[in-house]
Amino acid sequence: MDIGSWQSQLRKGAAELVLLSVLTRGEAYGLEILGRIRAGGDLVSEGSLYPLLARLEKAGRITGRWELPAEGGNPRKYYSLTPEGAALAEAMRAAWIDFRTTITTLVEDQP
Amino acid sequence: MTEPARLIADYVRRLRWSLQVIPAEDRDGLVREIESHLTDSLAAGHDSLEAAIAAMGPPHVMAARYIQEFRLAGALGDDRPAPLIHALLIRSGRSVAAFGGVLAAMLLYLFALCFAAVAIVKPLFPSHVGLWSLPQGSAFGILTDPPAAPEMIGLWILPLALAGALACYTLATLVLRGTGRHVLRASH
Repeated sequence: MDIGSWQSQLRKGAAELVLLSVLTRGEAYGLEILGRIRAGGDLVSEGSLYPLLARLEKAGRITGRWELPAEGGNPRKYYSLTPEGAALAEAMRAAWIDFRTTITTLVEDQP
Repeated sequence: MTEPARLIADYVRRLRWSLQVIPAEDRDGLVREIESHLTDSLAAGHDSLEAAIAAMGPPHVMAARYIQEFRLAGALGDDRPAPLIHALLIRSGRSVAAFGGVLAAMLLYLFALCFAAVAIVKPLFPSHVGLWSLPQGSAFGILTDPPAAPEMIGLWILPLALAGALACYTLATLVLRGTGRHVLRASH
């Protein structure tokens, strides 16, 4: 398997956790979410962010509301976690930490 | 319209077109959100707009991602009746709602078929198809032995039967989709 496609699968698997974690920091709209994610690395792009948001909203993990900015201009859709989404984010975080510990032991701590 | 504005309008139009399978109420929101994102990107400069469009890929690729995610969320009602009936029949042993839904839909499809048959047979055997008022009640449909009483609606039966067929078919599909959404979601 070439490294590129493996990396893209890693990213795909992590995208949901990253997105939910970013939203635990508070409500945000698409471009803001992208900004927060990019501040920590280039894990999610426009192309995957919006479809993922749509799925999480459909599944009831996040909820969106439209708002017109006070200064005028573009309507924006703000997303926040539902209680179910917040619980899922917490569970995923715990699972991630377990996973990371295992991988660190197996892969990184080589003599 | 300026050139970048046209670029956005064009992208959005093509995206909407490729999202036909997504229910209209969802589709509008998705498309507006992308339009909003692209407009915000343009406000940050033409390069930023081009980068955003490049990151999204062509509208049909973007649409395919949406459709895939909707499928994953189980939010896409399959419009074709046959797979839905199949999926529901598998569950109808365990779910009263699935059983009732399939039964109601099947009956409605049967009615649709009868209405369609009336419309098809009328031009072929005009005297055997129609609506009669008889002492024991009225008779509607295809009769091998039509009564002597005068037939009441003549060729008006054609649009009526077609409308009936369409209404029954639509209703059956709605019942099926509604039941599908209810039952399949509950089982996820």
